[in-house]
Amino acid sequence: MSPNLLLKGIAIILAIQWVSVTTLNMLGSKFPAPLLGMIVFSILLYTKVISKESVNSICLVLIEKMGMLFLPASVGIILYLQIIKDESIAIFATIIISSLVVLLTTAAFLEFALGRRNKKGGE
Amino acid sequence: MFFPDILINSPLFGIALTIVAYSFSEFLISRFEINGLPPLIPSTLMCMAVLLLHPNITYDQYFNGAVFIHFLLGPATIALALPLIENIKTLKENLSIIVSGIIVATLAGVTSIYVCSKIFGASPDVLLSLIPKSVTTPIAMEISAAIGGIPALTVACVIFTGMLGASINHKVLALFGIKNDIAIGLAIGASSHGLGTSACANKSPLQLAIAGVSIALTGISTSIIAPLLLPILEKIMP
Repeated sequence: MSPNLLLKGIAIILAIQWVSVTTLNMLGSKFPAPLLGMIVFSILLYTKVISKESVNSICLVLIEKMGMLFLPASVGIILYLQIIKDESIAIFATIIISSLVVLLTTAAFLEFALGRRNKKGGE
Repeated sequence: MFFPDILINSPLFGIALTIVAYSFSEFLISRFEINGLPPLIPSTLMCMAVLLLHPNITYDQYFNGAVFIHFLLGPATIALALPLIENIKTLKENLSIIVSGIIVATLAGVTSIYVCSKIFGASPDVLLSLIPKSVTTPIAMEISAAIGGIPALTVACVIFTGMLGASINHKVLALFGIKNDIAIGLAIGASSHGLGTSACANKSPLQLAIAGVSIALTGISTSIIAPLLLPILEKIMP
């Protein structure tokens, strides 16, 4: 994890973000810029325009310590403590029910789809 | 005083508080071996305690410095492309099933959140903030801002969703007899993003890889589907 590679890596990522923000701004689109950046970066990595080695260090650092990057936003909860208190039942009931719905629907769908494909493959 | 004005009004305060609170939380977790507790939770409580115990320090003063760390969420989201490309082989082999699974998950997620929020009487702000709760935080904040929610409230919902997922996902799936690693990984990534996925780390590498792919794809599909599906849901169930 050399300092040179870290600097080169963050330069590449910031350049991609710059292009994403500018493009979406020109198009007047509300699509999240970091997400477009992720798609662009995936394509550049897949087509080997950017080598994995040059960005490996910075990506590892950013992903490994991603939890810390959420901290300023999650401290922002204190601005909304009153709303969370007022609507705690709606918020927590929705989170619990919806999480279970998504988890089970998706897993059941996948089991069904994979099972059907494996059966076809076996025939 | 421990927090003189010159410190509070400088970016040093927000940056230092964020990094010190986080690394101290990491230290406490490894020292007392509280496995499974994300350092984000104790560090959030620490920072909140500092702000709540000192009424003369505002969140804006904290964010004045913390914004530099907050900014890095963008690059960190872009960096998620690397694990995605590293798992490209599994992704390609099961592409159509994975993509349709993600679309099913997103539709089920947005619809169930909308219906539950309406039933339990959430206000419109809260409803919109809940919509991206299954998406990884930086993308969830962007979606929340785009559809008119409150990004900070979304972060709270995302984190609670992840904590719930990390503690119950595997138990629930086992209870319903789901054994396929691709199904488990995809469902966990789609319902409880990175926090839930961290619980796959000691189960199977395939689960972890699929969950990683699932996090990225759920982010993309929610940011496309949610703004399109919301007006339809509003017509059906105003």
